[in-house]
Amino acid sequence: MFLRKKYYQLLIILFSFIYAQDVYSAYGVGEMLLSHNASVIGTGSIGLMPNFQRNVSLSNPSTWINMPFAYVSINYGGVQIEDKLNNNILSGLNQFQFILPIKGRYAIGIGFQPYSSQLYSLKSNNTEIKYIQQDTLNFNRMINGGGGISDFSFSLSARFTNTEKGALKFNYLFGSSRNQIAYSLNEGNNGLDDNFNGVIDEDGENSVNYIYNQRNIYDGTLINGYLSSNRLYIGKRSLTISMSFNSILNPFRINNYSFYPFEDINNNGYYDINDYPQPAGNDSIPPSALKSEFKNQFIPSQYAIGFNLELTEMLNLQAELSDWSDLANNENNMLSNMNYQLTDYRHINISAIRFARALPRYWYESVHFRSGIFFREYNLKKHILNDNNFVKYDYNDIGLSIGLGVKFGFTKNQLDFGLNLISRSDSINNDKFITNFNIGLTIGDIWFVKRRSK
Amino acid sequence: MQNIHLSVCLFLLIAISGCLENTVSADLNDPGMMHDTLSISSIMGFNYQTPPQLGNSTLLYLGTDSSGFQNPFVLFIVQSSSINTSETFDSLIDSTIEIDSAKFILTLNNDTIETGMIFDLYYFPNSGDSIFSESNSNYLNLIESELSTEYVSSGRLFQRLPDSTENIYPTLSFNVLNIIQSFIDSSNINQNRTLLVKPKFDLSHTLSFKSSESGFAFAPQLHIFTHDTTYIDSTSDSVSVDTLSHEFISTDDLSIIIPPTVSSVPGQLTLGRGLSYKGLIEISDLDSFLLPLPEQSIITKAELSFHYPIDTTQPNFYLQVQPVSDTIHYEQLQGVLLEDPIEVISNILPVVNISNNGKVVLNIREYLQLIHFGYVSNYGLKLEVINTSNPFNLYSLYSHSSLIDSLNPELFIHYVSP
Repeated sequence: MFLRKKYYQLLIILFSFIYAQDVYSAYGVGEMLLSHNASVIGTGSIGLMPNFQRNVSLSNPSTWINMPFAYVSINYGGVQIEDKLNNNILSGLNQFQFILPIKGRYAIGIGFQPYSSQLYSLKSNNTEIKYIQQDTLNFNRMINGGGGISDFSFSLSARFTNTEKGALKFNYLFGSSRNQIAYSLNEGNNGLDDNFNGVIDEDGENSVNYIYNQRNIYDGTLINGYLSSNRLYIGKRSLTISMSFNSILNPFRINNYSFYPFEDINNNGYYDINDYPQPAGNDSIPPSALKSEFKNQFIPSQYAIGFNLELTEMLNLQAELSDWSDLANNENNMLSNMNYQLTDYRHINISAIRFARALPRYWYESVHFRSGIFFREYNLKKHILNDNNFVKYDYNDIGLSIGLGVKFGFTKNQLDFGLNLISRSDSINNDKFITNFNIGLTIGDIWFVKRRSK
Repeated sequence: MQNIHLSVCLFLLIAISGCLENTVSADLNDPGMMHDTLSISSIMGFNYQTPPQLGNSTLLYLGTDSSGFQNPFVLFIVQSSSINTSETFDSLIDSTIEIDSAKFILTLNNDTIETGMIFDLYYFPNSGDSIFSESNSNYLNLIESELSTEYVSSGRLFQRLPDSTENIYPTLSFNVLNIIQSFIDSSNINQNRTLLVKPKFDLSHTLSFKSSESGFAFAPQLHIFTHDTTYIDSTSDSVSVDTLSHEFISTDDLSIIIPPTVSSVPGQLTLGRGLSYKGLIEISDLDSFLLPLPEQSIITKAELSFHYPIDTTQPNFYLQVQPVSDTIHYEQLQGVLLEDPIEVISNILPVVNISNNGKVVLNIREYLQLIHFGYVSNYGLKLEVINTSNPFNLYSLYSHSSLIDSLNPELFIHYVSP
């Protein structure tokens, strides 16, 4: 039994810390984790084609039939997002999976991974000014949010023929997030007011803050279909083709709790007895939170196709294309404090992998080497309130990926490392440089094999 | 082995804890919350009049004010327990206690003695202690000629010479030894604890005395001086004599004020304690203005402003604004009303100190917020000056019927909503 006490300890710690912090996690459902494990990150792909071991991808259940052993895989990752003003790091558990192949014909697997995460603290880079009744009012905004959507997956795969395999994966998405808008008001501090005392309150210490909190609780189910074939050859070289689709099985549901805004009189950021209206102790307790249920605010859909050309037994050349879309068309996007919806995400990559030799003669023949280049395009739109129009916004990633995986032990245990270096061109925000690093540990064991009695 | 696992876990913990959370600047122009304002000018002011209610006043008045306010007499009820000894009226009946003297003392509110004035003290030997009520008695339901008073004694103001620079207030002292038995005799079903003081001759101006609300030190009080005779040894003739002073302060006291006839000025809202003119503010379009506000709006500021004629207004008075709790029937607010028919919701809005700058600004944010919550209805606001204001002053505010638009009352609301 490989689930020993040490792995429990590790799991508890990893689950306890999931961080994210950048402007992208305030868009749509938050920052979506598109690559969950080190071998996928090492190839810069979406994990459709084999990259973990020869003929095996941890992210494509139709390839799990080729696994020689049952595996438990844990992946931990970190992302650093830098621009000329900010430097933020996010890290956390990227994936936990248990995969059980059955007699080379079937495979089942369960997994737990973040689907999206939100943790942001954004301050407006400009101030709104109003002149009302000889007073000058300065307004500023800050939005904070945290939470995200988790993904519990169950997969089934089967071999149809010697060369064709298929799989279904069901993803139960669940989670919650808290969004906060802090709206500050400062009276007469820019010199235009008659009562201006000459002290400009740049830090907003004399501002009155109005805070509005919302909580979203999510649930929904996705279905994924996978099909892989290695029937084709180019010359004597085997060409594997895989396809996948992803759609909604049960509509994604959002229970939104809108709490009454309050004036944060003591400026502690929390709603307490010193604030207005007072939460307790008199007859002015504000009404309880408004609860609303929304469906069809998030309708993800994805199509992907990938090719793997086996140049030699060890050296493989791969290409993948995918198109992810959110088909929801909402004028008031409950998912995002910034009212931005991620409508499309397209990915293309070309990768090269040198797999480890099945029976290595030297130490370096136990190592998988992975590399690739990829391009991603994100399209967002933002609905303008009280108007049917929207504004479009996009950003693009060009990335380089490298990675390696070290086999060890009789059951082909594996320690994987993956690194992405990404240059992000952003049409609104500053351009970014993103470093994505991932470590994966996969432990194998034999199931459904009769042990020889001692 | 176990140590290695722990070390790995600790390393990961430290590495993860190093994550950064810096606030990032972004374009947040799109409103997640918005601020807006409302201005309402359809505000009407009404006057109504009730008898003066000065029961909780810190001063008691005697004499006639230059504005025509008459203060014919003052009533008191003294409490039956001494505030400085353990004696009560009942315990003074003990045969070992001999009463040497008894005085009823009032303290003048200013430190300059008034000469040539004589005041008379009366009591009510056959009427019990239900002569008056601090909260309900007034010049309409308490007529001096209908009271069955009996004269007790007369007194003049007296001022002790100060030992140093201390302020010594003049006092008015009456000898009540001859009626003290009616106070301490509990067997009398009409036990008397009520006194009346009035000037022997008409006073051309108003004198003010400290009331029980001004504190123990200067409250009207009954001083009873006694001595106890105690036999130290029953077989000998040796005795011990203690001389004591027992102070019984007034618990209720009330000046009766008869206001002059004053007609309110058209277009002005008149307020005053002695005249007991109160104001009602009706903001008729308030509901229709507040209805379109987004459901979770928060009122950030709501200023109801009135202009007032500076030359007729006393500076630095205090105004109480309270939401009315039920529908106002204006047709019933004619003449001087024996009881105030306007019920209010208290403790919602603060007392406002009005300085002499020609404009009263009332903060009614809490009231509007409660209307927006749906907890109270817009029945209007009641305005009255509070009990620390001089009862003989009148305060006027321009109401909606003013001829000059700029002097009309106005409600300006700021709100923020998601």
